[in-house]
Amino acid sequence: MKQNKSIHRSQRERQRFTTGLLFILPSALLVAVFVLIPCFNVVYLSFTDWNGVATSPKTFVGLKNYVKLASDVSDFGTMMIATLVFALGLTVLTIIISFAVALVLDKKGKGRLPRGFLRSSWFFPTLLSGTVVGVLWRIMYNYNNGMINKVIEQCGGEKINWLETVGLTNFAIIAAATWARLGICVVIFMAGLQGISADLYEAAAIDGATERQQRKFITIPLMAPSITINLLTTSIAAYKSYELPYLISQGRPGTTTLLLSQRITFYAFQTMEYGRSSALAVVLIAIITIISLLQLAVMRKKEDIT
Amino acid sequence: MKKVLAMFLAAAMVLSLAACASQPAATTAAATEAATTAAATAAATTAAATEAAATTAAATEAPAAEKEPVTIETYIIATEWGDAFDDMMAAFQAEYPWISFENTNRGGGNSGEYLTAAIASNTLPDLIPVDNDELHRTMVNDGLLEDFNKFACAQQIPQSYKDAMTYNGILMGETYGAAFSCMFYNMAILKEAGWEKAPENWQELIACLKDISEKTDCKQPFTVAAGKTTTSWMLFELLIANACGEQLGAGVYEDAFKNGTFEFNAYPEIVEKFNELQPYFLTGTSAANEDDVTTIMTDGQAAVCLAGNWNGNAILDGITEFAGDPSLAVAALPCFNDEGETRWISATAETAMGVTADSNRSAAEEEAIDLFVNFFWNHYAIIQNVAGNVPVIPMTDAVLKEQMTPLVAEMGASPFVTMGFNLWTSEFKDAANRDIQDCIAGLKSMQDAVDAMTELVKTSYKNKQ
Repeated sequence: MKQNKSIHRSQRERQRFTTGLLFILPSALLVAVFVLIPCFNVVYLSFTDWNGVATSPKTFVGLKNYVKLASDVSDFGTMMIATLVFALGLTVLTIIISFAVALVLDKKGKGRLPRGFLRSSWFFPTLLSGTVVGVLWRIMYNYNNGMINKVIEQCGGEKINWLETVGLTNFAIIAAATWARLGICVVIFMAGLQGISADLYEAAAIDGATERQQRKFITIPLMAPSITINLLTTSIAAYKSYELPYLISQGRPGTTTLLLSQRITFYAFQTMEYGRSSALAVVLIAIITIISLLQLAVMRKKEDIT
Repeated sequence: MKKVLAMFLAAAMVLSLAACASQPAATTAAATEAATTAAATAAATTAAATEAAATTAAATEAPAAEKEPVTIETYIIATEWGDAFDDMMAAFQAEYPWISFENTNRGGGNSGEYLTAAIASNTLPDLIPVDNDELHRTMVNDGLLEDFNKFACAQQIPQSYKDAMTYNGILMGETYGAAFSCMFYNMAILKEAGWEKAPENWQELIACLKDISEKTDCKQPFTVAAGKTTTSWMLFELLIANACGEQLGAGVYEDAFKNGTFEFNAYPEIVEKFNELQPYFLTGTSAANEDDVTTIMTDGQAAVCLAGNWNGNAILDGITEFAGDPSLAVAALPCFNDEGETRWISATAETAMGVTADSNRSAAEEEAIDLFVNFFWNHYAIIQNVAGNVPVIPMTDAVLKEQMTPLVAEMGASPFVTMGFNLWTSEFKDAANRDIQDCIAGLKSMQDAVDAMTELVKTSYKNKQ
């Protein structure tokens, strides 16, 4: 009797498993066709000297493309620094500002802020394409006719040369990308904030906790999962960023704002070196993976502690 | 109710998808109507067209009804002259009704990106825009472009244009425009500085800029759209052309460049002249694009600018708006030559219409392509220089501005170096332009830039060989 039951159970489990498989099959196929196969193809191409012409041979060249990248240390180094500065700046600024904005917008019943309108306003830039944002900010940064300098001049200040000053241009592209990225992070933070039970704050208040203490000991620890998500998605988006920084600075002055992603496109579409481009793409994937895993490990630890 | 609404929405979605489906551009009644109008316009165009058209007309004497229908796939970037192109297509189809077109793209966009994707997926259309640049040279090397010499209409292409568009013995296509560099002056500001006429040589140019910066509110009077590779290189190229053009002669400089043997630092005048000009660059010039320069000239923030002929109309309009009088908006060929020396300029054949290689293409299709390119050349390459070898299609208007027209003749008579922005390797172009932009912004010395370029031209070309 027992044996019969267990047979039935295993049959049911198998059926369930098969049904589950069938359900995920379409998505799995899509992921395989549009993500996994291209990824493996990029890795394969990075070991060839293919020039992008369908009829051209893809001759295996071993590690030549990687050696080429490594031998051009100064160029690669500058790009890495520019990419890291951009990613770090964008991630840190976005997380801090969006968290602050979410806290302000989440306050219920206090003040007379038109929160619905403000929430939509913060989210609006997220709806714009990177190209639109890039062009918009490039125009605003224009030294002679840009809106930012016009405002500074109206206030009696000196015009700022946003796009021709080393260091300042890095900040300029980070600021623009932050503006574009804030909305989605605010939404995620607000969802996290709304998930925190009001009872916790009430209990803390009864125990005499100040608002600041409530933030420190309730809000921030319980927001750890949202912070992890925002941290991961923002840093990955930063490493992959292409059109927005490119349209603002085109990697200038010199190559100080030239990102790895921009060089990948350059090698593929300008110099027709798909092998070299793919090798750089593999390096970028590796960097993103390592940094994401590190971030995950650190944040998971923090989440466990809380 | 919900079900009805859901059905209605689903039907609307399906209909909207169906509406998005592509449609051959030239089969509509509207196109036919446009064809009639355009045909009338076309009939009134230049007499020069008649001779070449007659040659190909002989090939099409058979009645249209007997012709096998032919469809040509085209990829044409025609953002700014799209209307003219539409008219021309319609006029062509009115004359050759058995030939129809399937346009892959008629908007703007990056032709390089489209073509690289099409090359990688082996889906190239029949007719594409080509330049003598790295992408198209790769196409020649891989046998993806037909030698245009095989088409009868190639006979009408002037030799100078054939030379500009020939790579490894293959004529890449039939060019349909010319690019050359021009100087634009806001005479209202020049007059304020005591200059009644535009400068005619380098010494006058520097003296003029000095006077403007000292005697007017325009303290940094010179600008160029250096944020764009083409125009930033244009400035540097004029310095090179006037430093070594006389010594090397046309063609030699280009060959030396392509062979990786050109020594930039053998010509100290390049650095000297750039250093003389540097103090007069308007701040922000190294990041300015062509629209920015037009705005700058419209606002009178700069008095003199260097730009391509394709921007001439917009810049002259801008200066006129500032000065309030079209006679105060002056265009001239760049005067980077020393006093008493020959003026060298830079010019080149622009984008051509090329034919992709297709072993399955029928004779009827080849004939259709021949007819079309011939028609295009004779109806829309509208302005030629005195030598008859540089047709110009202004990009923003149907005709060149009054101030620009005489320049076409002058340009034809001037010795020139070929504009290098298409000829050099992408690697060199990218690095060299970043250096030039840094020099304009005052972040780097021109001597350092020239030294770097001398090294780079050797390695960059060696890498390619």
